[in-house]
Amino acid sequence: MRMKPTSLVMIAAIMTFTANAQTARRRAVVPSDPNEVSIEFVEAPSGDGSLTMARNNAWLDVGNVFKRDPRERGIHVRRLIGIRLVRRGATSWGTGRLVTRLQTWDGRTSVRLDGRELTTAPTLIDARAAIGPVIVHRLEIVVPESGRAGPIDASIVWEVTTDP
Amino acid sequence: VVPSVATAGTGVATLTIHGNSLGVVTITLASPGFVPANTPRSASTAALGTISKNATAPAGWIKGTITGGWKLTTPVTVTTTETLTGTTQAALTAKLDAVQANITYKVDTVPLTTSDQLIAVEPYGSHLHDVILEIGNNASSGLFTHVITFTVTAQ
Repeated sequence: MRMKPTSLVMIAAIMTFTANAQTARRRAVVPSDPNEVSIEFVEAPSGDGSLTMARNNAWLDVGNVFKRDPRERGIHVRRLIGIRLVRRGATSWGTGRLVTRLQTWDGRTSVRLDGRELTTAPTLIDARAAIGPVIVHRLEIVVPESGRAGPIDASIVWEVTTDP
Repeated sequence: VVPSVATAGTGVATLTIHGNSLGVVTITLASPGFVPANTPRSASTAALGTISKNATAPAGWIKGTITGGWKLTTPVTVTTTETLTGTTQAALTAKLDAVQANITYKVDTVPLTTSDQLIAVEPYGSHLHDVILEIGNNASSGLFTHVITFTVTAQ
């Protein structure tokens, strides 16, 4: 028995649709790596809105700063930076080792995090940073007394390694 | 039974900081003719009270004579500081809020007008200058109040 050409085309279309639906279901059920962890920046409660966040990147614009306290040497800019460690899997507990380092800086300004001066070498900030809650860190930017005023530019890399 | 192996995960984030630091210069004035006397301030007052050619000079002021009149002089210690300007000296200027007939206000030898007049370019620190009121014999009696504004600019 011979089928009409029109019927053959319809069957082929239905088969193609079914195959695509099965592929989509397979994609949806693929689990993400439960050990994958990310760092999210969070505006600190006392933040002044100068922090712009996008996924795992943030930009802090401190604007124009000058020496306010004659008792201090140089210019000190202090901000609170909140971060949250997020694990991709169902588990939102555990700890991670948080280190930071300067990726770029203007060569004049110094940057401290929780009182530790950052360099291009990794600096341990928290050996057991909790995964889940927002943790607030104290960022301090210091322009030394000597020298000349000018642009402030620094880039800090934050890296967390979760405990296995 | 499928054995599971725990592995460590790693996450990375970047915080970029931008801003601009500004240099600052400051100025204070201190004089025996100001109230309170010899006290460095960025806003000082000289209360002369009632003055006349034949009366004694107000406290902290020295009376003298000029052609066609008389004058009152008080020494002023001008102290300037700088932070992050990268400069070693500054220009000191002064101006008067309004001119007054028959009374000339001077700083050192420079008569003041309502626009900034250059008094000196000198290193940061303390320097002595004179504030002088030259009062003509034809000056009118009456109450007067004036403001002299000193400005320091990094050079």
